[in-house]
Amino acid sequence: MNPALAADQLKYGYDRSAPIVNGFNLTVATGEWLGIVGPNGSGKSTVLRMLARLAAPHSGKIEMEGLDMADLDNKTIARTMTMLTQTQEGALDISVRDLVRRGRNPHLKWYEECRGKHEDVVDWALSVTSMAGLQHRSLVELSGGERQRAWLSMCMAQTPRILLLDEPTTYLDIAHQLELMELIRGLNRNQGITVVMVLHDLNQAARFCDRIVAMMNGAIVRQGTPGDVFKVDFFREVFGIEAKVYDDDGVPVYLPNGIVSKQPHEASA
Amino acid sequence: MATVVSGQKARIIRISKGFKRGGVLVVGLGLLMLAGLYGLMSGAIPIPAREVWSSLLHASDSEARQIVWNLRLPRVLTGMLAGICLAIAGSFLQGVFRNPLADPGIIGVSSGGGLAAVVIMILFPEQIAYLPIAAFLGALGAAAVVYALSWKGGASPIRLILAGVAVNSLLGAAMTALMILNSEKVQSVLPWMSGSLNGRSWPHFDALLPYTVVGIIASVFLIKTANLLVLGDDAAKLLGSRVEIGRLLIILLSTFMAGAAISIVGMVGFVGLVIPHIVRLLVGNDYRIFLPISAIGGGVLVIAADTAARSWFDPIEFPVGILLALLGAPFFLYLLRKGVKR
Repeated sequence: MNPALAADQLKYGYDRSAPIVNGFNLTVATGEWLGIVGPNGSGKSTVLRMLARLAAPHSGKIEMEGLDMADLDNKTIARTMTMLTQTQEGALDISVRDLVRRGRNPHLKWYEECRGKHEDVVDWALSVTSMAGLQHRSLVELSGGERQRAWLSMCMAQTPRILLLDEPTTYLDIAHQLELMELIRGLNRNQGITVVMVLHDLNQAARFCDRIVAMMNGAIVRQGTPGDVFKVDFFREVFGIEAKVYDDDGVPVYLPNGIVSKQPHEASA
Repeated sequence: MATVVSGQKARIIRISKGFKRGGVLVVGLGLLMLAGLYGLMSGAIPIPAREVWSSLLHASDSEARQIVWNLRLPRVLTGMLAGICLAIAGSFLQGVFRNPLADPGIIGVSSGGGLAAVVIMILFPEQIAYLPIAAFLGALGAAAVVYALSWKGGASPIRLILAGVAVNSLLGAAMTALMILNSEKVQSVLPWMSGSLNGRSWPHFDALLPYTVVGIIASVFLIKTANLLVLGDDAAKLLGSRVEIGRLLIILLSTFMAGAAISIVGMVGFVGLVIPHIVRLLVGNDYRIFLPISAIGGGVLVIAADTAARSWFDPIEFPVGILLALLGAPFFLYLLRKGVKR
């Protein structure tokens, strides 16, 4: 079977001498949950945007389920893959349901409206994201966490097989963070959706992801299971921090102790 | 957590929402009729509603028929069409620019059309018959320049707005310079500059009607595009929309409609800015309802303002644009204080 995504020698950057992403190769297996981590400026968000085709690589190629994405139009891609962006238009006065309906767009012809069986998909998307009770509320009335879920609900209405998420928990409090992560775990486990997520919180990445890819200076420096990747020297070399790593029932948990001396790396949260 | 609302209940909510939207539409059309009636009744010679009605239905040589049919009706209808065009353009542009200050002026339509019109009026007054077409082409040309200047692998909303501001101030300066150099002719230019329906009659209506009809039909096909673009470029693209093409089409349509309106009634401001704001407060961001209500609102506002401008200050006739700005600016500030939803 073709992998969900396969990126081959991606390169991206305005400045040729210092590309943001360089020589990036990645294969994402169908059904896996992949976490991309790395310090600020490591190029992880850029990679995610290229995978979603929101940014065009300057060279290299991305295949989605075995098809070269350069040959596919936006609608075809949008039926298979979508992305929850880090921030969304917040001040829209439309109902949650109307937002989620727009998720059906890639499945509609230009003259078609969201009706009949498409409305059933909208109901399904609202229910798997626990938004059915809020569906008639306006987006402007929602809290940050609810709004995030509303947009995720729209993503689900696209019935994607691949879901990309760019630091989806950044602006949420810890309870809402966990709620969102567990929601995504349900989508991954129960719906079989392949998940690729850029994450700031390394402990959450370790707890939820099947596989971790760590980036630095636009390329992958470590990858493997959380247990393989999360070692003391990984935190030192990639993030420039001294950290202790504990084992919590097979899930690695790290505790930062301080910055590695004289390395002006930015520490990550 | 919340569960799925039962199908029955969801349907009831959907229907009641449909009713609300239908209600707003009916109220809007009612207001449009009222504004039209007000426009036909009011003026130097007030004509009672009953007489207005009979002179609309029956041809006669009566003075009322002359005034209603030949003077007021074409003026009311021309104002309505201009208001519709400007409001649709403003509603679309605020959406695709995701900026509450966007209006047909921001993409250069007003300044481009204005400069072309001023050139005709001041330098080639004998060619005055070509003023509408010149203003229309000037509007299109300025919008094209703004779009071209903002292009950099795509035309982002913020670059479009900045390019618009720059082009507007350049064209505005040229317009002012022309007027200063020819100050003796400025008198004839001023009413046009502030937008006026004075003397507009059937030929103006006939000229504007096809543009309005074509524009309304085209706008129906762009509702879906606009509904995706308001979500943001990234979101629209992730939903399969071709963002740049969609935005270009919407800008083209807005330019076309606003340019047509401006070429006939002059630089009427505020309609394209204020009406979308008010309507958005009332019905929200969904273009399927937002756009038609905006269009009606634009028609109502221009008819009402023009009628007030020509009857309140009798015997002086105010250009409608001035009254719109005098009333519109404070109202806009009030909205701003109150907090405007985008």
